Amino acid sequence: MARLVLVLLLGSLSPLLWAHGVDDNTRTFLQQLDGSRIGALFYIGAKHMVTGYDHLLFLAGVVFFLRRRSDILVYVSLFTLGHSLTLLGGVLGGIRVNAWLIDAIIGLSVAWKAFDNLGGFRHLLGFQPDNRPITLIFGLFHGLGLATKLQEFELPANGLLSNLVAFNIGVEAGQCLALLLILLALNWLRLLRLPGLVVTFNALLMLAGFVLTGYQLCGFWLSQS
Amino acid sequence: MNHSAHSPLSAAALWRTTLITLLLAALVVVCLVLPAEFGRDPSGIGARLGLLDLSAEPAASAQENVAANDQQRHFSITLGPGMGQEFKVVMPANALMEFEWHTDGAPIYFDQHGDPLGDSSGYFMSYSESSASSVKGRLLTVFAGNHGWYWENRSGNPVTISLSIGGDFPLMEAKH
Repeated sequence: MARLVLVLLLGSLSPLLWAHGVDDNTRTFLQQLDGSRIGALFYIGAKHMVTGYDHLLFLAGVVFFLRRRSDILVYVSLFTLGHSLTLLGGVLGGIRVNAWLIDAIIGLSVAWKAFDNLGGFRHLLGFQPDNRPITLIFGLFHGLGLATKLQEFELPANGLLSNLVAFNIGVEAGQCLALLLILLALNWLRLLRLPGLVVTFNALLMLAGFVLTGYQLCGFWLSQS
Repeated sequence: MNHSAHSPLSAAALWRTTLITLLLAALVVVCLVLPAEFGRDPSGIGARLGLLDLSAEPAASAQENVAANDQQRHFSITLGPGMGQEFKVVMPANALMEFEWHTDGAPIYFDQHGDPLGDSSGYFMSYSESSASSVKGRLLTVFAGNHGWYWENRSGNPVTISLSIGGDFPLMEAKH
């Protein structure tokens, strides 16, 4: 039972990264929303999680070296805690940040974790940061990005809290599902015993993180000019 | 975290991997992402790969403002090198449209014309055809139909056209 509760909690970790846009149908739906639509918002949250590649990349980096379930639970819970706080607090408190900059930071989080996995902090910079607070902090950024995007739809006050909570739970559910798939894929990869897997995987992850960051910074820069 | 205690790479290899990754990322962003997502093509590779078309905005998707009675609307249209685009509004006969458009710099080829309502023969009446970087004027329609412009970017760089039109008829973009 305790384990079940933990799994449910942990699922809630949902960083939603909308570096990818919201599709047109979802956009229309959100803009016409009036009142509480728990099922629909749950689905949108879950879909966002499962199709949010930047979030998935970060998760893959975080769990890459984690073998014990308890470790996975701790990290994912920290991430969930961070992003849930800023998602709910951000929307309810009307806090908006620049979506380009937030997504750039999220891209950096991917590169950061890949660099860490390669041993970069220990061997090049001479220190090993504690990844737990860092995962929490990146979780806060992920939630803030989500809160900013959601506010663009100017969700009606009518049913806002239940819609938000449903969305957040959907995100958690989607994250659980995505996490299972990522762990499965990583196990398969390890099974193949490919030489240089650690280096290749994390170098590609770092590349993706840098590209995402550059993409978002270009967007920010062009939107300012 | 439970990392294996040793790094899989030597310090030199770590530096190399990190720098190469940064360099590759910069290349991907400049050569592919900028042209495909934002229509900017500093390297010229985006145009060669046909990526610029991806960021061409469909006409009138952007910023539209409708004033009170006398309607006024603004559109922004971006054309990559070699691209052409039609933009027309549905107008009744004897309607007056005031228009003004300008590019973000370079002159662009245009053909202002109209085609009659319900005509499927492909006939159109051309009002003016030239190259310019800004045009301001009025159009009084003779027949009901779709009236507007065809722009073609014959330069090597993306061009953005800012169009403002106003009139006392319901401003509706024509489907082509």
